[in-house]
Amino acid sequence: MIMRYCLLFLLLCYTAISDAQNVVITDEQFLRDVAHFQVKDVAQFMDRFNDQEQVVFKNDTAPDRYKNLLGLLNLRDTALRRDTNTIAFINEVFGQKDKKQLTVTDSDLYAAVQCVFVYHGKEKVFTVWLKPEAAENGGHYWGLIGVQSDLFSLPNDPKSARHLINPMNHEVGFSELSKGLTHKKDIYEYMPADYHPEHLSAFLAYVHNGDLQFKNIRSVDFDFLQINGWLFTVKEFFRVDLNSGWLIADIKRMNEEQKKHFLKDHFIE
Amino acid sequence: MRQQLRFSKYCWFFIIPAMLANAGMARAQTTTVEDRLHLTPADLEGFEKQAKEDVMDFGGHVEHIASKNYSAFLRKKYIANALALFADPDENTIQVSSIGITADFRTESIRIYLNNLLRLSYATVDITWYDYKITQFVKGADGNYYATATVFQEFSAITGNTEVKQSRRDLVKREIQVELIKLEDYKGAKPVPWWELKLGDIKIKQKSLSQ
Repeated sequence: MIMRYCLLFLLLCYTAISDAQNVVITDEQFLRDVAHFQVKDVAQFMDRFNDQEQVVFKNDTAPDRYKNLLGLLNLRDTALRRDTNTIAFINEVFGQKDKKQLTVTDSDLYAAVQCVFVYHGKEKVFTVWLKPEAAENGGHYWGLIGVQSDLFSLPNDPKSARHLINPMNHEVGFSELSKGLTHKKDIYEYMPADYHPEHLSAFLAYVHNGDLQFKNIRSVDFDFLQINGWLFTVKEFFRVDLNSGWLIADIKRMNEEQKKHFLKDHFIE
Repeated sequence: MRQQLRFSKYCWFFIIPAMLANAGMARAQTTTVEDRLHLTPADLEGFEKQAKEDVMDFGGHVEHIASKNYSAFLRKKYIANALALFADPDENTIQVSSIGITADFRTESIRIYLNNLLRLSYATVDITWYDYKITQFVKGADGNYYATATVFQEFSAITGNTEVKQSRRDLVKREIQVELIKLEDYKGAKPVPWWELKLGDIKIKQKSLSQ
């Protein structure tokens, strides 16, 4: 059974890649096929994943669910194709009796938006995380839940700091506090060992004050945590190829505990 | 006196149904207002068709605005028609990619983008539509409904003057936000709600097909 799937997988890879290599750009029919097969938006990715929309592959007479799932992978990525997790994931989704339906309002869908900002005249890339939030009127919106950037990272091991406020400094009116607040770059060294800066609040303050000036959005990825035991990432691959558009770029085996750690690492720290 | 009492006693038989009828009418009026705001799947399907027409119109307007075959007066008319399709052409943005730039796209307001097209002056423009799709409308926290329309088209153009001609052939994917906006108009003292379909922000992806 596994061999059959592997064979099918390789066959599909071959078909997709040979199609891409033999592109006759002047062929209008090929462009029509690209437009038809390409996963044009995230909603269409979900429709195809949920088996609500099927495509019929070349030489087939009826849609094949397994092939449709394989068609949602970025087949140009050799590492993804060879990863044992990939086939395990596809087999698991294919074999699910109660099909997990993905929707754009799922609370365990996360968008990672790479934003370019200008900070003190230099460009800096921030990953801004968003997730769908429900509103009281039954509607939904994307809420900003986290941000990642090296701008907010603490210096390595602030406990070994050369600067600190000595334990008897209160007797002299905290004279070393004035020094700490004056030496801006060393300010983190005065914090307790268990201090973890909240990146999102800092980011909002920087944007609000105009210290960070937004330039553009570089890319958008989506992390889907809806499937039990798995996390997969969907990105857009816009190319003149039947296997293109919004496709699975990465698959990770992840239990519920690991998912909690993943969220904690991304959004709390 | 007894007769008066009898009247007041029996008059409730007429008053109560009348009050109930009034209340019923009031309820019916409220339902009518809500009905105007409630969108059935058939309504949304109708709006999806309208969205398709608007998106196609926008593509046609872009084609006319960019083409040198039309007079400046006519091209400006097309700009006005295109702007009218958007919720706020100064706030709504379009992502524009340039040849050779794959990662960073600049973002312009729809108004600026269309006016820039006017200056670009293609000698000939040919747009072929390959595919169109629209997502389902999803209700937003503001009560409006949102969807995304995707169109896939081949864009061929010849730029430059008669001596220096450059041909461009791109595969273009436009992703257009479609907004179903709840608006209120006042007829007398009562608000009359209605829905208006407008286009919003646009993302463009381009892949050169030039050999």
